[in-house]
Amino acid sequence: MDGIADMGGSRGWGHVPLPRSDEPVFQEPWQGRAFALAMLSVWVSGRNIDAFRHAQERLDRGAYIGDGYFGRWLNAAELMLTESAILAPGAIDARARNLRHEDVAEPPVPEPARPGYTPAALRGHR
Amino acid sequence: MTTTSGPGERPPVALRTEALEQLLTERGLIDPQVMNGIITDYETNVGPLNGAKVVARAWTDAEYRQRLLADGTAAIKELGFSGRQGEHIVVAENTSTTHNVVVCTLCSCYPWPVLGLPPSWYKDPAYRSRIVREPRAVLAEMGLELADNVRIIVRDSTSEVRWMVLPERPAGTEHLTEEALVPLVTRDAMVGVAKAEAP
Repeated sequence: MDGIADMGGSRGWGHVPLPRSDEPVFQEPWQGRAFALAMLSVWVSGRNIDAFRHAQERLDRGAYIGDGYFGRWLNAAELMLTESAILAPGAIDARARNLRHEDVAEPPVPEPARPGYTPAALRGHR
Repeated sequence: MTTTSGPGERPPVALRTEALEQLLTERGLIDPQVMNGIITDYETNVGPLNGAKVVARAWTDAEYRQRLLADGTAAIKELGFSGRQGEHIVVAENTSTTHNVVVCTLCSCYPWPVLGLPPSWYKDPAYRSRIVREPRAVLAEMGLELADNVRIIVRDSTSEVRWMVLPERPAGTEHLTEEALVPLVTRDAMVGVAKAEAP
C-alpha cells in the first residue's frame, strides 16, 4: 500500500518518545473534543470506521502529520463530512476564522449525499 | 493588531475543532452532552486498569489463563470488559524465551476495552515505523533489554484484530493475592515495551 500511513519499516522519524507514567489521555481539551467529534462524524456522515481509516490514509502530508494525532482525526472527520456533503468544502475554516472575528462569508449548507452501503449482491434485488 | 493567515495557512487545529463542533451542533447533528460522555468515558472509565485485572486473574487462575489465550475477547468479557475497538482481541503470552510486542503500523489500532486509548508514544511515527524493523534496539531504547536468546515477535494490529500481551508474572510475587497483583501490571507491560515488576 502506498501513502504516508504505511509507516512500518520507514525511516527518518527520529527517536521513539519514552513512555511517561503521568501522561493524560488528552493533553489539551480540544483533543478530547476532536476525538469525540471524529467518532460522531463517522455516524453523521453515514460512513463507518473503515471509511474513517481510509479518510486518514488519503490526507495529504500536512493534514496527516502537521496537526498531530488528534488533528489527523479532525482532518479525517472533515474529509468524510465533505465527501458526504454534510459540510461544504471550506466550512470549517470559514467558521474558525469567524470565531476569531475575521468576518468571512461561510459557504451554504449543501444537500447531503451520504453513501449507500448496499452490498453488491443485494442491489438488483431491492 | 490584525493577524492574517497566508493563503496556505489554515486556522489552528484547536480553533477548527471548535468550529466543527459548532457547525454540527447548531444543525442538531450532534449533541455536546453525548460528546462529553464519550470524553469522560475514555478519561475515567476505560483504561489499563481493566487489562491489569485480566492479567492478575490469568496469573492466579490457570483455567482462566487458558481461556484467555484461546479466546481473548470472550475471556475479557467474562470480567465485564468489552466494546469499541475490542471486538476481536487476541492475547499473546510472554515467556522467558518469547517476547511479544504490539504495534499498529498503519494507524493506532489498540485494544481499547482493556487498555483505554493509546499513549502518545504508541501513535508516534517513530514507534510505528521502527518497532517492526529493529524491535530489540527500540525496546532497549525504551528501557527493556532482552537477552539474545529471547525471540521477539512483533504483532502488527489490524482493523480487525487487537493484540494484548500477557506479561510474565514477576518472580517474588507468589505470595500476593490477585488483588495485590493488579497494580503491578502496567500498560507498558501489556503492550510489550516493559515487563511487570515485583513491588
